[in-house]
Amino acid sequence: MLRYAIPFLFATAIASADPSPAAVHGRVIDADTRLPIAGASVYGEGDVPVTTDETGAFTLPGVPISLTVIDGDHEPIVLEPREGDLVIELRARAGTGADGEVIEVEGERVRAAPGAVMMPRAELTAMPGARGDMLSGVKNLPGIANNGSLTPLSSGLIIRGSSPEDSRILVDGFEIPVLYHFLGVQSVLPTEALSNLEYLPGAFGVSYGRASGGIVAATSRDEPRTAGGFAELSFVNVAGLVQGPIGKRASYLVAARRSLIDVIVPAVLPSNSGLSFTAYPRYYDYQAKVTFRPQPRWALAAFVFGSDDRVSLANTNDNAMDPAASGNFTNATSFTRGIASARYQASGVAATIAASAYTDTNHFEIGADRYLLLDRDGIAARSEVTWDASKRWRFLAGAEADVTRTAYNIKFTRPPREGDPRGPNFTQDALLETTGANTFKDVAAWASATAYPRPAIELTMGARLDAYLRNDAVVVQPRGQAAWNVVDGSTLRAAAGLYTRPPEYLDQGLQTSIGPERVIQTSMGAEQRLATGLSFQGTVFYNRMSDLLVLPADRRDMASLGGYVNDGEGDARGIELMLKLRTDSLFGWLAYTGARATRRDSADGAERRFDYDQAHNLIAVASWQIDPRWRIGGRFQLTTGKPYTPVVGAVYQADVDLYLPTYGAANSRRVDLQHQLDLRIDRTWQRAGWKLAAYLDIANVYINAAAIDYQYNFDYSRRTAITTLPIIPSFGIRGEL
Amino acid sequence: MIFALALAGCVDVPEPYDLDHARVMAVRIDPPALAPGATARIDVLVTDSSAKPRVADPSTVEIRSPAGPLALAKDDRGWTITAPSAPELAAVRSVRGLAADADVVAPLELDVTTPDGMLPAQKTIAFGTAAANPAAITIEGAGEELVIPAGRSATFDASPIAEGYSYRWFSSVGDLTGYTRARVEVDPDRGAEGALVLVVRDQAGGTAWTIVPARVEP
Repeated sequence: MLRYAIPFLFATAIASADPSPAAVHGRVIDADTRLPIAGASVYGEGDVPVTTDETGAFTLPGVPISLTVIDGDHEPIVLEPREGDLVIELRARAGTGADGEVIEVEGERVRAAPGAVMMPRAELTAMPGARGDMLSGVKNLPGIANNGSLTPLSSGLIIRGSSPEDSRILVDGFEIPVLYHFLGVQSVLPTEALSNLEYLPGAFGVSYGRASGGIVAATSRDEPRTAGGFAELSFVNVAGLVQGPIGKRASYLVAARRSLIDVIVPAVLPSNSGLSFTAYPRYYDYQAKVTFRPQPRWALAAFVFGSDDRVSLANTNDNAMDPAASGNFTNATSFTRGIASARYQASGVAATIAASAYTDTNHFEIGADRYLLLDRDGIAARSEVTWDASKRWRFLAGAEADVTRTAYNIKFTRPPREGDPRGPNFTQDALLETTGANTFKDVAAWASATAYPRPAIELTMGARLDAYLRNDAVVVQPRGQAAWNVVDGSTLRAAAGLYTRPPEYLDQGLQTSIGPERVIQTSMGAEQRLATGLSFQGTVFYNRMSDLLVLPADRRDMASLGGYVNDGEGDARGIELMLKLRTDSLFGWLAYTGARATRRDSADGAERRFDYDQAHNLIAVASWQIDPRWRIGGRFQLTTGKPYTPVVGAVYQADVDLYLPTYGAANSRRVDLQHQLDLRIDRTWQRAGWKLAAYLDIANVYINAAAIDYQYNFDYSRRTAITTLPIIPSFGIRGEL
Repeated sequence: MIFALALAGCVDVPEPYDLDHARVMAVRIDPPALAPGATARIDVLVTDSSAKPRVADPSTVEIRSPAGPLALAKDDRGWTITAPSAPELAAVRSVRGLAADADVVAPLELDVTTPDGMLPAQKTIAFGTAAANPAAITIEGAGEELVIPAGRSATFDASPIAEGYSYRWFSSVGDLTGYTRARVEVDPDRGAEGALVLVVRDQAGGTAWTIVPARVEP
């Protein structure tokens, strides 16, 4: 398997004797972890490389004058070889995870884009405040706004001024239908089922599409080499995992979790709350993976994962603002996705082919007669091939197809739209009432060529074609990236391209007359290694959005049932800075994002702040492994408050006994500055053959219940802040084999 | 988020049934729908921090309509509205593209001045087919005055209970549960004296109310 070559020229290396005539033998390993690097390309005199095997070993015929070793996750090296066995150490590329225990560097490679970050599992699980959850920990990276993104039915990530639905969360190349369980407490995939996580905030390569924001691509954990497992009981849930080899060529991993919220809620719910749960909130998720290597060059895998969330309650409280919403509330969300994949790697060539099938349900009922019932089934396939044609050229091509059938039964309001301060009102809003089924057929193909005109320069040009067949839309999206290793440890990057999102999100999928949203993304960045383990990464970006979907009519107006138009426009610009430290016992970073995102509902419409615009976001993270028994860590975040639209009055509607608010300028105010400190302590007891670990993770240590929005009383004469939870203590204990 | 909302709910804010919070409680046009040329009277039920529900004095009420040709007038007894004549209604239907026998709905905008400030409201009126307001609205078991025993909740039923009616209760003698339903539960404040108010609406714009003095036994 070949790598995305990053032409650093940093070298350490070598040694050893035992000469063998006319051949160079050796192993390529990670300089920090000492683990072998499989799939690295080793070039001699010619343009055809050899590829390291699972043990990092290679044999190169002849004894070339120079040896070039390229691996996408590490800095390349050029050295003068000697005959015999070599041990070649590669250093992790700046911004790339290097925890050898957890990073599986096979399969999908890093698509370097300015601002991209590869996070190893070990760091994300030790992240204070994330309760060991990898996908929650990713919110601490630059470019992600953290201002109330826990909107139902959304991916929940707001990347570089894009809406949550503009970004995609992928596992092994396929999208997760739901990212978080209830309340965003935990993501639907446990950290233990993943090996690493690649964060691409924008201007990424041609391999990813159907996203006009960013990409978070997780890789499922592969090939556990030793038998083991754990059982865990925490404040949030109970979990278990077993893993191990099956013979010499196969392995397995099985895991499951179940929440404990349904145990906690009855104990903390006041008796006079007026809420009567017919089903306490609970969730579970599960994962199973089998990997089989019939030959050294082939890896076959089957991965099944899913989740199920459910809550149902009867609310006896009156609802003066929205009588139709009073009474019952039920939300049931579940999905199952299966992925079968095959990977091939040989000298200069790497290929993956994968197929997936999934089903998910999203049922939401409120009041006596309002419901949104969505049931989806889909199949998808994806394949990609990379070919290192020579030391100077690398080619990539791929294709994917996704067919999804959505059955819907709806009597509901239009969902809240960006820029509209009104939440849904099931009494006053026009009701979308329809039943039927849609089939979305999305196909795509892509290709790119990467040139290395100089060892220190990498130029990639490519294009991606997406066809959104239900909407008769075909889009060619040119994309390009450049990297220049100016001097040792210093790299400049630039990237630009066109990105689109199909009009398939929620009720947008009911219309065939609308087209995809388009964003031209540009970014430039610099990476600098400052010292061993200390690096800096800075990126500036500008995204120009067009054809954004807007609802031209007020949601109370029956005209809103006419649907969306592609009239919206927007801009997002900003700077992302990240100072990162990683040593054997300490990791941490200081990340700052300064950004401004605006929207217009039409070309001549008034410009306003984007709903989730976050001007400043400062995050500091540190975690220190004091000794084999103790680890402590902390996280501090300081962010600009979320924009909101002030209510300037309200008019009583005597016919329906409700108040209709009048608003000031859209998103013209912000809630107060938010800040939060999280702490985490881990204690491990190592015993022969097993270990016991416990952790205490306290989010919002100094009990700062920060406002994230406002809610109003029945006549809008008073408002109260909707706040973050004042403190979230979480305790867990785990036995591990 | 549910937790966050619950926390916010702990803050003391006026409840929708509190009679000591300034608000328009109802607007009654009698009759609520008029035949061509007919006249109706407009009354506004208000309350304020004095917790005394009352029909607003006409001198404190201003009414206008952005649509015409209806006629609004105010005299010592209150506001009246006169429906357009049949030819005028026919002309409006023509302009709006309505059927020849369709009702013409017109909005009214009201400003009611109270010691606590000005209260805006909107109400619609239909011209074409005459209609009547709900009649004889009462609180079952209530005479001249409601006397509520202290220390335990009491329930009261609206009368009549009819399909299509909506109910709205207000109180200055205790907290209410079910204040949007036909049966309300009062959690009385010991020693309180005030009123229980019931407003009933039908689906055609008809409105009626009853105000019953109430006190809680010490």
